[in-house]
Amino acid sequence: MMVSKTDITELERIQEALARKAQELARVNAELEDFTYSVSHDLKEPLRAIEAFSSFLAEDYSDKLDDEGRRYIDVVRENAVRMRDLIEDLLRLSRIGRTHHDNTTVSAGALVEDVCRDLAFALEEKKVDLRVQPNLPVITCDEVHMKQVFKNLISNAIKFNDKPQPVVQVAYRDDNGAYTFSISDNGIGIDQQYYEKIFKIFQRLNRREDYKDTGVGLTICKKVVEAHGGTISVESQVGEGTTFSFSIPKYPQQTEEAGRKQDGEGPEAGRHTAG
Amino acid sequence: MEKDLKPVGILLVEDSPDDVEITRRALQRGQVKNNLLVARDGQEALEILYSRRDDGALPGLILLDLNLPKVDGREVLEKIKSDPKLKRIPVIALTSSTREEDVVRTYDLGVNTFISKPVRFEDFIRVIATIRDYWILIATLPPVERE
Repeated sequence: MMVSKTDITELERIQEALARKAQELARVNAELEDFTYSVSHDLKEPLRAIEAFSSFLAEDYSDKLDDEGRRYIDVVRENAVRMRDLIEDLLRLSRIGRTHHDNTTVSAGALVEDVCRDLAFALEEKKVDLRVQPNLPVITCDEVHMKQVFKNLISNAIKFNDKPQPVVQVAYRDDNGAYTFSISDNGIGIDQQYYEKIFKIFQRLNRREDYKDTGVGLTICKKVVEAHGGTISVESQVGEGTTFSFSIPKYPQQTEEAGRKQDGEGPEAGRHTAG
Repeated sequence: MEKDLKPVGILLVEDSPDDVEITRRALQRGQVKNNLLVARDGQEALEILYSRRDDGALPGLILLDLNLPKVDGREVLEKIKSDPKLKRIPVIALTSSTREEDVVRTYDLGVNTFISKPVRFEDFIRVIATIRDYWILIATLPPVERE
């Protein structure tokens, strides 16, 4: 097929415009992540003062207040701590976008062991029967981020559980190109209509006094898993339990940057075929 | 032995008056016996240090907020650590940043240790109390030959 010179010029023009747009998008993204980081970071300063001065109030003036007055101070302090948790989760979320992904080979078994050490108090307190499938595979991933995924899912499995004997199971399946991990519990369950909603930021399904939660944990899981080229999903029966499954490709995926670079090289390849 | 320790002269470099009060109280609650001197920005901190450099009335410890007006905390740190008479004073950076880049950069500038200010005051007292142990350690080390 003959390709005219004007066609090629037009093609080049479009490709240049596309590359510019991609660059702009990357810049806006970076800016947004910087913004989230600064906001979360600077919000901590006044929060620290609120927490500290209400504790001074409690220490120095407790005897001048009645029970109701003292309760108000407690409410202020509890809310300051809740806001701290929210800010810290936001920071974590923005960090996933900011830091580049350092893929290494990690034993999923060691990751889970690590997480269980961090969660030892909660596991003990709720007398959780934790069953981890032996010989979990070695995966290629960003260790810090992947640990966060296991931690969020396992701590959710413990937290959203009202059974006298909570059971949490960690298992995996070998699906050719990827490993699929699952974290199952016998907890309160999630109604099917909320399967999508729970992965959105700040979405919670339960009253705060029943379950303390910031509503950021699953958003972080989804962001990390997808950054690794995998997917995450949920299956649940209300009152019976929940299983979260996520896949991690066996072979490292192209990072976003690498993908973009390849797109940039596109025009070269295109011209070659056209010529 | 701990009782015999002289109060440590601390230079707190902090621009927020609220944070000055919080730190003052945390030092007290953490039982760090101290004479506190406060500089409200980096320039004031350097002026205080330079004016005392030759009469031996230098603080035993510097608590330095990194986010400062006029002269940034990192610049203050750099100046302290490159001055032969000041560089021996232990500097503890106080910051609300837990960002890895910030921590690494500050260590590169020679900070002795790093305290990230927690939101809960009770947690802050615990961290500040470690200064006391740190100070006891320094004060009980065998004297070094002065340059």
